Amino acid sequence: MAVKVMVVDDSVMMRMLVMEIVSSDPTLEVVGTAENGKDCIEQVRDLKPDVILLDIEMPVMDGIETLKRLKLVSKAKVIILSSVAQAGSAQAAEARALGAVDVIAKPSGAVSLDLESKRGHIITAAVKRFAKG
Amino acid sequence: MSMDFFWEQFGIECAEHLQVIDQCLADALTHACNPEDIAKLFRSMHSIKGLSKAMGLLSMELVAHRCEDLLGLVRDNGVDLSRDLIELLTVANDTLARLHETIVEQRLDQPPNDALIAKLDAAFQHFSGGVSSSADLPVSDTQNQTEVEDADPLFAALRVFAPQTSELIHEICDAWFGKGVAAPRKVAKPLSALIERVEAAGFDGLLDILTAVSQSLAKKPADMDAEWIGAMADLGQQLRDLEAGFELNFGAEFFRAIVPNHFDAVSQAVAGPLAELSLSLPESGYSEEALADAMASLGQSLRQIDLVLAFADPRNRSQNLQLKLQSIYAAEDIASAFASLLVQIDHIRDAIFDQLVSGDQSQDCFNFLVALQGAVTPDASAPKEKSASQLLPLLQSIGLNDDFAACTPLEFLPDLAALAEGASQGVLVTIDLNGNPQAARLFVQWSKTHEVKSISRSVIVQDMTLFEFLIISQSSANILIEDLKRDLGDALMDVQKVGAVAKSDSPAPQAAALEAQSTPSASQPAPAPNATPTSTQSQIRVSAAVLDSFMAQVGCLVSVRSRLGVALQDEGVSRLMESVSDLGRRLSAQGHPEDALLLDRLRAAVQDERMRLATVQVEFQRHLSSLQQTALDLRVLPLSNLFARLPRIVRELGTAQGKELRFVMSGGETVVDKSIIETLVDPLIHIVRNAVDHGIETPQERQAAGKSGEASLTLAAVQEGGEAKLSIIDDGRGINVERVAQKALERGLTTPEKLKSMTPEQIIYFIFEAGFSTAAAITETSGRGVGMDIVRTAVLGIGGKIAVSSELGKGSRFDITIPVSAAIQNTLVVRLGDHLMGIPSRYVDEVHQIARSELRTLHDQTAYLLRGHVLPLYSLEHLLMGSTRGDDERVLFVVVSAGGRRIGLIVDGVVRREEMFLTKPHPLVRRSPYLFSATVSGEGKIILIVDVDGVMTRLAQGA
Repeated sequence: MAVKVMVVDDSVMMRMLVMEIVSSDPTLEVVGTAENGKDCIEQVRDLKPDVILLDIEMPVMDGIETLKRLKLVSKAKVIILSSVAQAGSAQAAEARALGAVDVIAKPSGAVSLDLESKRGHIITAAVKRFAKG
Repeated sequence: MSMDFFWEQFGIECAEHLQVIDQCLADALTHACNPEDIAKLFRSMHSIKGLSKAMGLLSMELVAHRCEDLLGLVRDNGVDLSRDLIELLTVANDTLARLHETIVEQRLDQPPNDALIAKLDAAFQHFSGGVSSSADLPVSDTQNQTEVEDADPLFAALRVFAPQTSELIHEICDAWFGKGVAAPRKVAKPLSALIERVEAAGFDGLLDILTAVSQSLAKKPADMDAEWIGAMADLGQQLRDLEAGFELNFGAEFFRAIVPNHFDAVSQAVAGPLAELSLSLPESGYSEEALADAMASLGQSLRQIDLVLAFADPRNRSQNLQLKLQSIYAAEDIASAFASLLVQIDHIRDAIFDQLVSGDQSQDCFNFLVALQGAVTPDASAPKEKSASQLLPLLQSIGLNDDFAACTPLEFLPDLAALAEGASQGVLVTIDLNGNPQAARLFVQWSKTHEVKSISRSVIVQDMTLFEFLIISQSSANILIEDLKRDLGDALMDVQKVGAVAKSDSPAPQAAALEAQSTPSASQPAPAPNATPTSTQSQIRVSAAVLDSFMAQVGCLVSVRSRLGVALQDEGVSRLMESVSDLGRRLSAQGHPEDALLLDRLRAAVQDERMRLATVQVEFQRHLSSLQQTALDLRVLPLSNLFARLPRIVRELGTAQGKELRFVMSGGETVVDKSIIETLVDPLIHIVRNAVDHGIETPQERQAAGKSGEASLTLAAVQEGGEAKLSIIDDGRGINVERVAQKALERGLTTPEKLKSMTPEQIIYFIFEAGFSTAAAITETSGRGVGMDIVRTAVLGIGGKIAVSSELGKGSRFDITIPVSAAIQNTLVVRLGDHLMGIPSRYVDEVHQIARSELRTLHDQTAYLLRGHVLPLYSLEHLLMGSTRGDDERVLFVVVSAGGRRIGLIVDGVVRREEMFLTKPHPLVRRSPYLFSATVSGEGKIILIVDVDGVMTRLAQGA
């Protein structure tokens, strides 16, 4: 049974990119996307994802607020995907304190956007690791 | 998804964000911005950064990142969006827009705009007042948050939901641990009430966890503990996350309260039995039965502690206390392992109680578990010692050498027993595996095709290392022998049957006999052996002098490599490169980009060179390490060489003196450097002779004292890491400490005052002093110019330690610890002023730093109270050079122990631990009673090695 993943990011391009990366792995399935936290919370009850890839900087409801609410309404494991919250930063710590299972950097740097590249692997590896529980 | 799509998307999204920024900044010029506008501005710049980063567009990313940082200061640090700042950001945004246009058109990154970047950097420095990186800036905007909270119906609902949940959680926790014992069934009622509420509210996240708890309750008792605890701990964690998120009380505190409320009761339940056990176990002799009982009774209590602790730190509940108990079982000194476990639990109870009320107790509990883990470590050598006592009779009944005992795994006991009873067949085979590479392969093949079990050991015959295999099989021994001869051919040196035979009649296995005749020194010419080496062997005789010279060269290489390593790490070059970098930037700013580029290339070239050098150095190190190892291996021999002469000596002595002796040796296959063996031959013989002469009583005396007529003398060798421990143990009359003390006074080796402050264990070491002898006369068999002092000097000379302990009437024990390799020793390098000194690690127990105010003075002696014991402190500088400086606030000392004594040596600093290649002690250096030898460090500095035993001796004499 494929792991159900949801991608939440306010940039269309980012959503597409992450979706491409995640779908490249046959054991993972993107069941939905959202462009901000509110959107995410509304959909999560129906989609019932196993893992949520969550951006921090979003309009309407940012990642941190979303994370708090997600703890109530979903059993999904939340991985923060961000270009702000690098591993050691205060924001990463806050996210973890609120229950995020991991904080990883958004894919970056490859003009050729090779989807087989290592950067993509970091994301799929994290998803698979936490999906197991 | 093609690249076209991503380029298009990038083009569109970026353009949108650039537009938003442009508009916001324009608005900001005319009227003040509210937080929402700032947030929007920030987010758009952030998005541009993210998008350009994803596309790998450095030119845009560098600018956008700095703008984002500046806007971060405005958003979070209260920096005002002043006119200046707006203008700067507008310029930046325009640049971004221009870059964006070109990039999208060409689909190619552009060169970075260094001038703009520099300006933005400067602005950031200015406005942040030196805040270093955007990663450190706090994030959540609390003002915004409370507004959101009030408006959101979810929060309103939670304000009602939370206290209700908290009450139910309280009930659950109380029910769970009501009487100090888990009572999960009482939990069912409040649990289902909670589940109902949660379901109604649609909080699926909580619902799943609660359902898991409920399901684990339904399991049978045996499974229940682990799953139940897991589920409850998950619940506790979830509640904690929710509380952190919403700042409402969901009841997580009741989970936390379980620990202080019940930990005490539970740990008492453990502490009591532990204390009893640490007393009763030694009496039972640590029998397997007693240990099994202990484990059973403790197991229950420890499981309780596990349950409790899981709440404090759910993430670490895999640290199971029962595992700790297992490792105690395997520990060598079980009494002290139990004792230390007891101390640990006490200590942690205190620590946890202090912390629990206030802060984060999960860290303490985690530390508790880590500390417990460190309280006991399994000792690999322990099982061997246990098995020796059971194996020896078996081996003897089979007709095998006692040396086999040390290399026989426990699981072979039944097979050996079967062999002894005649239920299976045994063959003893001697094979030359080293000289004949085929032999190994052939033998492995052979043993695969014939289902046999085998135990092996190495033996030295003349200069060759041969391997002796005891093969046990159900097949007929004759057939086995035929097959072996056929399959192994020349590699087979010797083969014979063993088994349930009368030991006195059967010829001793040939290899062992040869072994007894061989001499320890490989450089003496040997008579033609009975087992002729095959002609395919190639061996060379090497003179010891040449080997020594070779070792010295290897030692120099080690120093050279160290110096290379140090040079490569030199900070100087890095700083130089930074300056080059700066120069490049300056040139670029002054409008000489080509020059800047050249400098860049220079820098890159230097980096590359250093990388290459570093790689070469690493390779060099690798090869050097294995060269070192090979050089050392050239010289190692098994201790059986040392042991060879002893059985006959003991037998002859015993007969001459009319004493009955049982002499057991084990561990002969332990290997040490050849020079060590040579040095130890005479001392070992001396100790053994002493033991027989003075230690062992006549059978009549023994029986009168209630002992068995036959005395036992044991020589055991054990390898412990880089050291080997040789123990000579007898159950004779022991050493009379009174007489030792008296003699020491007579010989002027000490004063009555000093004696008063010494324990018996310390007094006994006087036997190692020069000029000391308790024998009334030098007899024929002992004291031939080899006194105990020479024994000790010999042991120290090879970098070893000797310890003695004894109980009057019960026996004595000598423990000689020797390094496996004479040449390289682990040393703690310390600093005394400008000098470097080395203290061999085998003496070093620990290092401490205290405040000068913590020093005490007792009887004119500076001391420190270390864990309840008085530790005398001496300034190393004062000892060596007679001077003292130092009114430093901090006092740093190294705790060393030798000869049963423990002192602290005050030093100026601890530099590092190093594997040093030690040369023979130089006579000039040895003139000082405190110094042992000198060596050269990696940087070419001279390091003097402290003779800790010498220090102890001088101090005891009242120097």
